Amino acid sequence: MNINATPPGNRLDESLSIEPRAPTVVGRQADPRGGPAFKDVLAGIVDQVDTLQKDADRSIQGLATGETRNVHDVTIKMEEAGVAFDLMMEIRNKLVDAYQQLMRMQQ
Amino acid sequence: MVDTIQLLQRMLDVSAARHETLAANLANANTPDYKRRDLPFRETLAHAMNAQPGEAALQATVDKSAPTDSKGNSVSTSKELTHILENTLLYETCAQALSRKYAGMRKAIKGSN
Amino acid sequence: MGEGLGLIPAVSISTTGLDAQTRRMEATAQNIANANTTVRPGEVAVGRQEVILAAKFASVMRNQTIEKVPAGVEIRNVVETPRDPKKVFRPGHPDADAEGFVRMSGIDPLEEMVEMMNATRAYEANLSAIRAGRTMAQKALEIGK
Repeated sequence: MNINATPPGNRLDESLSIEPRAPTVVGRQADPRGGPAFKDVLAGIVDQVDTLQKDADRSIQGLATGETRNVHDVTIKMEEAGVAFDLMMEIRNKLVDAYQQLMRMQQ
Repeated sequence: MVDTIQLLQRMLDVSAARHETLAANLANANTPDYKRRDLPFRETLAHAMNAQPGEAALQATVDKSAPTDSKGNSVSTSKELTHILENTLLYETCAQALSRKYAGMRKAIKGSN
Repeated sequence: MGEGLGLIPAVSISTTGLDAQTRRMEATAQNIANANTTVRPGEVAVGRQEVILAAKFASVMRNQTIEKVPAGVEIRNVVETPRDPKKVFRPGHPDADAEGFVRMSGIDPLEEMVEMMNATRAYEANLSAIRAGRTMAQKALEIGK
């Protein structure tokens, strides 16, 4: 059996760190003070969540084709996709809250 | 500092592989000249943690210390069942621990309200 | 050769064990049935059925190479090993010879009983392995619940 499908370094860890990946959305210019544009950061998180969900789907398909050797592969990938999704939703909620507060302050 | 989640995932992998080996031993309990095989857990785990992607896992090897009977078979059904029992418990423990880890993460994510 | 869904770890391996032990039990039952039969004059005595087992391997494609992995046990052959008939003194029996001796099958019922117990125990052990595998799968399903 192949025990080494995942390279060293936890995938979930990678997706929880807020580092920009190849952005799919062209946002406005990066902050001139340095650092990535926030829109790009968000897009990166969405990408990573998407990747994890696709991984989970692939492992489920693997059950049908016989590619997946262990049931725990499927449940682990599903759980990791779920946790990453939760994080993304929380970030979104916080952003929405912050935006609404900002709007209220401006009135 | 070892990443606990990855460690637990690898332990599940090794435990599942060991179960296959033990099951094959049991199936061959009456096969003449069959020698029992086993996976040394710690070595296999260490190898799995450090291996490169695409590198093959350690294979089970013949257990040279197991005594053979008159037909050259070295499987003891009761010993094998004991190994299976222990291994199953290990698997369940790791699955449970992993589950708690994920639950903890979700709680940490949601609990910051 | 279908590997089946990999839901319960090693279930196909343990199933080959169940099949092999079942065949042994069938052969032993046959032997016990033949154990107390007489051998007619001019006939050859029925031997005992013996199941020859061998380790089974499967060729699986992993990581772009073909690996030979253990796949349990297979029934190589079922042979009839001759057992010399015993002579029992039973004058008047329709199959008795001129001196009153009847040839009885040389199959030993005690040997067959031991074999039957052996096969039954091995069958149950394989069943235990399947149950253990199922427990593992159930626990894996609970990850995240």
